[in-house]
Amino acid sequence: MEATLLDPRMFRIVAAAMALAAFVGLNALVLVYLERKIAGHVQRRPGPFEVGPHGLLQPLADALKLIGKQLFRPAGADALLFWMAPVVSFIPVLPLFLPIPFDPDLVAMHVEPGLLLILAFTGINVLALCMAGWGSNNKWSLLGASRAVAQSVAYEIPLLMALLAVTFMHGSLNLSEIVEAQGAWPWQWNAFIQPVAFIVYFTCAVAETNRAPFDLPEAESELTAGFHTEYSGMGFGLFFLAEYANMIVVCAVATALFLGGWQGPFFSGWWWFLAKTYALLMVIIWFRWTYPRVRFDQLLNINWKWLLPLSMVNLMVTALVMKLF
Amino acid sequence: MPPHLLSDYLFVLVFLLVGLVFAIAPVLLAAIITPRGVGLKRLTTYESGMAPIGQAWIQFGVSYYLFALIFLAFDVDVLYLFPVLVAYGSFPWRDLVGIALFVGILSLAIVYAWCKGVFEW
Amino acid sequence: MDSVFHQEPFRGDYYTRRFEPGPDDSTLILNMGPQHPSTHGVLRVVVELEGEYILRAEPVLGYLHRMHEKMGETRSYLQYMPNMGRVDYLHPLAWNHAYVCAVEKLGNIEVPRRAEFIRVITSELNRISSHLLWWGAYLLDLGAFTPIMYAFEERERIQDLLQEPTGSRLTYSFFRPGGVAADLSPEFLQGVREFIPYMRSRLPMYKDLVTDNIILRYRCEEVGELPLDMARRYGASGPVLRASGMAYDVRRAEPYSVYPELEFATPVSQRTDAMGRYKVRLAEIEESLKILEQAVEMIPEGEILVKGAPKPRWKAPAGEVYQAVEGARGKIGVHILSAGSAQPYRIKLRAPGFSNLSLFAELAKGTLLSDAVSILGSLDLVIPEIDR
Repeated sequence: MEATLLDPRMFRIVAAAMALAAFVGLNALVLVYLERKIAGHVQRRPGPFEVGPHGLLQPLADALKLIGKQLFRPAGADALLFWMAPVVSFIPVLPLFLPIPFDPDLVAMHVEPGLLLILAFTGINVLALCMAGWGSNNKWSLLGASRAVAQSVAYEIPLLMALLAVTFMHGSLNLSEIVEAQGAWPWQWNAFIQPVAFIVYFTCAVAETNRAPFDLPEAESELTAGFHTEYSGMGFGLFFLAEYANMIVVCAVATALFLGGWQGPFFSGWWWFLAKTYALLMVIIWFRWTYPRVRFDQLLNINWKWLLPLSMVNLMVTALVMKLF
Repeated sequence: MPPHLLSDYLFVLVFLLVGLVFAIAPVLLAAIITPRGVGLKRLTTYESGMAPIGQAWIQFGVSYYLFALIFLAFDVDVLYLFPVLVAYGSFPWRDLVGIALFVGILSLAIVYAWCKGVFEW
Repeated sequence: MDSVFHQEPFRGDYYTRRFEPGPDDSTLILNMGPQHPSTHGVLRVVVELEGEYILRAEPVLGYLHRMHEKMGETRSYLQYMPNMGRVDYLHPLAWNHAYVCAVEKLGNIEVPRRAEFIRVITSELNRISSHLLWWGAYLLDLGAFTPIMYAFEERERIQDLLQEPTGSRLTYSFFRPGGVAADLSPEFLQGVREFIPYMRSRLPMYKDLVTDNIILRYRCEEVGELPLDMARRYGASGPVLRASGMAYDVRRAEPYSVYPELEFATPVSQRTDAMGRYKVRLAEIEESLKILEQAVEMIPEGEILVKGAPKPRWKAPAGEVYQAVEGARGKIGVHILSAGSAQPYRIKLRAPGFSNLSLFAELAKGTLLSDAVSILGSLDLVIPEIDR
C-alpha cells in the first residue's frame, strides 16, 4: 500500500485531477456562453451582449451571482439527502474524464476497461437526482425524480448496446485503442461504419443528459423545475455544472468511439478531439432550441419499441459480419 | 489483487476526492458569503405559491414501474456481454451462436412485455 | 424555527375541500398554479395525481379579480372605456368593440362608416396579434422555446402599427361610443397593406417548421378531444367550439359593424383535439388577413366620430342592451342595464375564456399531466378576462 501511495505517478494523477476539474469548470462557462449565444441566434436576437465584449463575461457574472445567492433548505426537507444530492451529482464527473484520450499522450490514465469505468460512473448521476427529488419533500421534485429514474434507466440499455456493437468490432474497451483503430479520414470513422449505433448512441446520450427534447425531469412548463425546484444558488449551480460536464463526457465518448478521436486528415492532435466534441455539443444545443418536448410515455416507447430492438439487431448484425469477414 | 490494479483503484479514489473538494468548496464559499435572510415563509416548500397540501413523502403510484422491472432484467444481462466482447473471435462459430442465443432470449423479454401491453398506457 | 413546520400537515383551503387526503392515499394533491409556468398568469388548478395521471382537476379562480363589473357601476360610460382595454389584454379591441356597440345600441347612436372600418381593421390586426401570442405561448408550454420569438417579430410589427393611432401597445382603449378616438393615417393603411403579404409569407414557414413537426403532432393529436355536445354543454365558443366541428362565429351569426359586407370564411375543424384548435387558430389568421385586405381597400373617407357623440357626463336612456362580438377567444358579451343616469346601473361581462376554462375539469380527467398542460394551453386562456 505504501508503495502505491508513494508511486511517482501519484503526483501526475493529482495534477491531472486538478487540471480536469479546472477544465470542467472552464468548459461549463464556455458552454453556458455558447448555449445562450446559439439560443440567441436561433431566435434571431444577439444573446448576451452587455457584460464584456460580445457578452463574453456573462457566464462569469452568472457564476458569481449563483455563488452569492442565499442557500435555502425548505423546512420540510431532509437535510442530509437535500445537501448531499448536488455534491453526489458532481463528484462522479471527474472520474468520467479519467480514461478519455484527448491525445495519444494527453490522457489522465490509460485504463484498460475505460469505457466500463465511464458507464459505471454515469450511472451515479441518476442517484443524485433521485436524492434531490425525494429529499426536497416537494411534489414537483418527486415527479421530476421519478421521471429521471425511469428515463435514464430506460435509455441506458440501448446506449450500452450501441457501444457494445462498436467495441465488438475492436474487441477492446480501451478508448485509446479504439481511436487508433479508426483512421484519419471521415469514412474510416466508426460513425460511418456503424451509423445505426451512432444514431442510437447519440439519441440515448441526449436522453441520458436530460437535454431537450428529452428534458422531462426538469420540464419547466410541466413540473416548474422538476427535481431541482427547491435548490437555489450553488445547490442548483452544482447540478448545472454536472449536467454540462455530463454533456461533455457523452460527446467526448462519441468523439472517441465514433468520430476518430484526435485523428484528423491533417495536424492530428487534441484540437481535433475538442473540435469534434464541441461540434457534437452544438448539435445538442441546437436540438434544445428547435424541438418541443416529448411526452413521457412517448419517450419511454421510443426507447423500448425503437431504439432497443434496433440496437439489438445492430449488435447481432455486427457479430455476424465479424464472423463472415 | 495485483499491485498495479490497486494503484488504479487508488487513482480513481484520488479523482473522487478531488471531485468532492471541487463540489464542496463552492457550496462552502457560498455558505460563508451569502446573505442569511430569515422569515418563515421563505422556508416553505414551493408548490406554485400555495401552502402545500399534505406531504410529498407518500406511497407514490409510479405508473411506469413495470419499465423499471424490465430494465433490471436487461441491464444485468447486458453486462454479461462486456466480457464476451473481449474474447469474441477466439472461437470459430461457437461464440456467435452463444451470443445469438443470449440476445435472442433477452429479446423475448421485450416481446413478452409488448404482448402483455406494458407499452400501452 | 423548525417546530413551526412540524405541525399537522396543511389540509388545504376552502377550494380544496373536495381533495381531502385520505389516511392511506397513494395520490398526490397538487396545486398547479397560481405561480406555475404553464397556467399563463395566475390560474390555479388543484389536481389529484395518481402517478402522472390526473384523477381530478379543478380550476380555482379569483387571483386576478379586479371587479371590472362592479367598477362599471361607479363610472360614467366614457370612464369605463379603459377597463375594456384591461379585461383581455391580448385582444382588448374586441372588448372595446363589444362595449361601444352596446352603448351605441342603448343610446341609438349612429356610427360613421369610416369609423366602422377603422374598428374592423384595428380589431382584426389585434386578433392576429392575439393568435400569434397564443401560438408562441402554447409551444412554450410544449417545451419549444424558439417559436415565440418568431411570433413576437410579427406581433411587434402589428403593435408598431397600432401604436400610432391608438397611442398604446397593449391595453388599447381606442374606440368611443359613436366612433373611434383617432383617424387612421395613409401611412398606417400603407403599413397594413405591406403587413398582409409579409404575414402570409411567414405562415408556410410556421407550417414547415412547427405544425408538421412530429413531436408537436404527437403532443397535440388526440389530446383533449372535445366532442361537440360537450362543448355546447359548457357554452364554449370561438376556436374551441369551431374545432369541435361547429361553424359558429358571432361575426356571421349575429352580424355587427361592417362584417356582413366582408368576405371571409369560418374555419372549422372536425378533429376536436388540441391539434384541431391549433389549426383553426392558424386558419383564422389567414381569414383575418383576408378581411384586412378587403377593408383597407373599402375604407371610405369621412367622419370618424359622429356629431353629438356621448360627452363625459352623457346620460344614457333607461333600458337594457346586450351586444356580442367575436373575440380571439370566442364570444364576448357586454350586457348593460341603464337606469337613465350617467352611470350604468349594472354591467355584466361574458368572457369566453370562462366557459372555455370550465371544460377543463372534465377534459383533463384521466389524462397525463403533460397532456393537461397541452389542453390548458390549447384553450387559450387569458386569466384577467376569466376573473374580470
